[in-house]
Amino acid sequence: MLKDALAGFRCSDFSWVFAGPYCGQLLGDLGMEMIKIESRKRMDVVRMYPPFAFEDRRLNSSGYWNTHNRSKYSVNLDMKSEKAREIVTRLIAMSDVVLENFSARGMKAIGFDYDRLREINPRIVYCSMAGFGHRGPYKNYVAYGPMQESQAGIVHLTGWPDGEPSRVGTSYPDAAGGISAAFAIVSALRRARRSGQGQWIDLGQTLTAAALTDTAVIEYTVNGDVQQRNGDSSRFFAPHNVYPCSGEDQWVAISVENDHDFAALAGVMEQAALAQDARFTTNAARIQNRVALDELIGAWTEQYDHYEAMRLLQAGGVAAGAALSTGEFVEDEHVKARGFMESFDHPVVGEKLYPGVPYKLSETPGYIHRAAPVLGADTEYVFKSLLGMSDEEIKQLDEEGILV
Amino acid sequence: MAEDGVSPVDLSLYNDIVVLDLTSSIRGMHCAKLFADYGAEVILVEPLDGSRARRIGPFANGRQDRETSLHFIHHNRNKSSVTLNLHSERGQQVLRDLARNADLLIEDWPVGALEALGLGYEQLQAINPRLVYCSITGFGQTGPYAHYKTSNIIEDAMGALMGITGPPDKPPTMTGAQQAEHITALHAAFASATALLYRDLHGVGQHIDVSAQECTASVLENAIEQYTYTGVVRKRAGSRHGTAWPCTVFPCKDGYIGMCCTQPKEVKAAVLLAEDYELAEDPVLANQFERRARADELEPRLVAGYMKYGKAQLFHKGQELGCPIGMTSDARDLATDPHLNEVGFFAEFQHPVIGSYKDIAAPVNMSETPGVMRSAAPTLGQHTEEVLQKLGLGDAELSALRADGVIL
Repeated sequence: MLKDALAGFRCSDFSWVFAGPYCGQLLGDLGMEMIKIESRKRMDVVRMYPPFAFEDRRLNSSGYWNTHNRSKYSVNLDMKSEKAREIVTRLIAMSDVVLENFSARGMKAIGFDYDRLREINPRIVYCSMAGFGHRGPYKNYVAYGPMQESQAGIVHLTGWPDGEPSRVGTSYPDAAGGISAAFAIVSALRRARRSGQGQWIDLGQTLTAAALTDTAVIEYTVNGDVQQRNGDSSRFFAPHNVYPCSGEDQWVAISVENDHDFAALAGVMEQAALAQDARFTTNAARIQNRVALDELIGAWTEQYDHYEAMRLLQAGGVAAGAALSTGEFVEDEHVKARGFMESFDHPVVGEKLYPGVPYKLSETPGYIHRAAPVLGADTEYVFKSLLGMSDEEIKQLDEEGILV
Repeated sequence: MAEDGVSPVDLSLYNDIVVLDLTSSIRGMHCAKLFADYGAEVILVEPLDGSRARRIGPFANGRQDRETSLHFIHHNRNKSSVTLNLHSERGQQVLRDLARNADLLIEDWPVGALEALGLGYEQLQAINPRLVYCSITGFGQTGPYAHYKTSNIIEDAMGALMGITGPPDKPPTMTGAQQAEHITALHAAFASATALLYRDLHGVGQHIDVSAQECTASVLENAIEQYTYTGVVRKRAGSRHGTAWPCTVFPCKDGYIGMCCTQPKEVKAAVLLAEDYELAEDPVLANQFERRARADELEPRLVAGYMKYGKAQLFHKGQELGCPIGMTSDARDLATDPHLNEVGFFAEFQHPVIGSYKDIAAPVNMSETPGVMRSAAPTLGQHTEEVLQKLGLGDAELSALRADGVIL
């Protein structure tokens, strides 16, 4: 049996949409027991987000939900009821982590702010992921990933100098917040083991995204320069761009950072004289003459499809990559050779492929532990096995509408 | 918060951890930085002519030398710098001695390059079985592209992120501020932190193989599933979200705003912010699929309203109405933002060459173990003597190493 890095750790997971669930996915794939608490009255909205496996958009058939909620258990609890809160209290007492990404008011509204959580379990690591965090003037502002990306400064830096700024093609701050949360959580668990004390990780998703703006802030505070977007070019190197290939909407990215690599590029293009051309002999000259250079390179890449161009360039020692579509990525020979895409069977949608674990740990490899649960699938495991309830008790809770 | 009698050192997450940082790319440097920000002793091992990152701009006041790269300075604060020629046998021996006492080694070298120097995972694991060794490359340690060269734009491209970023009438668009490299760094830090926890519990280190291509493809939200569930290959569609509406970037009087409404009350707030009171009552707003389908027709009406106001005004007024809206901030907006400044998002650093400056600090607020900004990035080899003396090397040996070109 494969070893799990996070075996023996349990998380009561109130998170929904993308940021919190992505964090939970990472923890669950490395073996933490993730217990996702929802209710039919307030289920994770992404359960109804596309893509759906069926045209009727039926419940439990969303690929968006199923990918980010694999390796988790699901129970339904109507958190408005006192009894549900009692049950959750018992669950938190048995947990190492509480994870949520409500607004800053959310957990207090259901009776579980940090003061209450640590009263229940002083070792608890509580991770909240409000859009702007729980402090400061914007703490009650509503925020979702796509607009956080604007606020965080990434949108301004993405896109073309002559056009509008652009979002990255994913709800990026959710992902950045989710992975930042996972790092903070396992770090805090390690410390809790040493100190006997948990803590509150107050993560603001806008802030964790804004922290990824690279040198934008320091360039402003030191030099007074406000960075602008540059399309696909680099301010510091040339050539650095995507170049057209023979197929429709096919492109190959190339980046050259020094004269040695430029000579290699000229060699692959069978135009060795380029490296002696005064317009291109130094990086500074190449930056200055980048338009002319890009045209020459584009005329060469156009003869090949994007995979051919990439292979020729990489074989010659030039950093190059085909701009893969999602379909090409899934079918790519390297992606397949590494076994990145994992298949699992799901009771509603059947066997499908999903992105797996993007790092391999030699001792504790990480893998998809179980299919994303259908809503409320694990009532029996959580209530009977973990909490020790009898069938009678569970039946009664169900009749009282607590497990809705 | 700190309890009485607890020293600041006790408040740190990683004050018991020594990290060897053998990286010069963002995916490596930013990963090691997270440990440095939370108290680890991070020793950046540089070649004698300095990290490659020291030669990359922007430079402080446009003046390029090895201590003025803002790229280097941003990614290496809170670290120590040791120069070491790893291509010399003596340098390799010193690194092995450092690895004996280290907890985590982070490297971003081409696959097999450190192994060729006797500094690969198995070689170091033999002398320190508790070592966590994290390799962060473009395409991972195995597979047909393992030896491919990389950079952010290559990872954006091969991680299938670029193909879905940017306007439909432009080529695939690179992420601003090198997001493939950054998101890879974060994943590597999580995997490393997890391996350290496992090491504490079970006594063994391990090798972590991080692929930037895979990390990038992991954050595509639902784009890959769109293919595996429905066979549809997503195209670039500008800033519009595929499901939610309005959820995009809109122009306004002095720039742009970002907005993302998922619930009817938020949609109504967005429409009221545009002062389109007729549309606010339209029943189309109630259904997420119907309103998204009419985005082309409805968006100009919103823009007409937003163009009357500036981004800051729209941001605060929109939020008061309950609309999830943000300004499209530039660096000046970030540096002067009242919220970010109040919650300690920035810190002041003192650098021996460029002087004092403000930069982003640790963004996550941890109640018991806050990130601590201890020092600006080190000058080249600033800590060579100090670190090597701890290994027991005396002045005579240091001089010999210097004379032999092993250290600066």
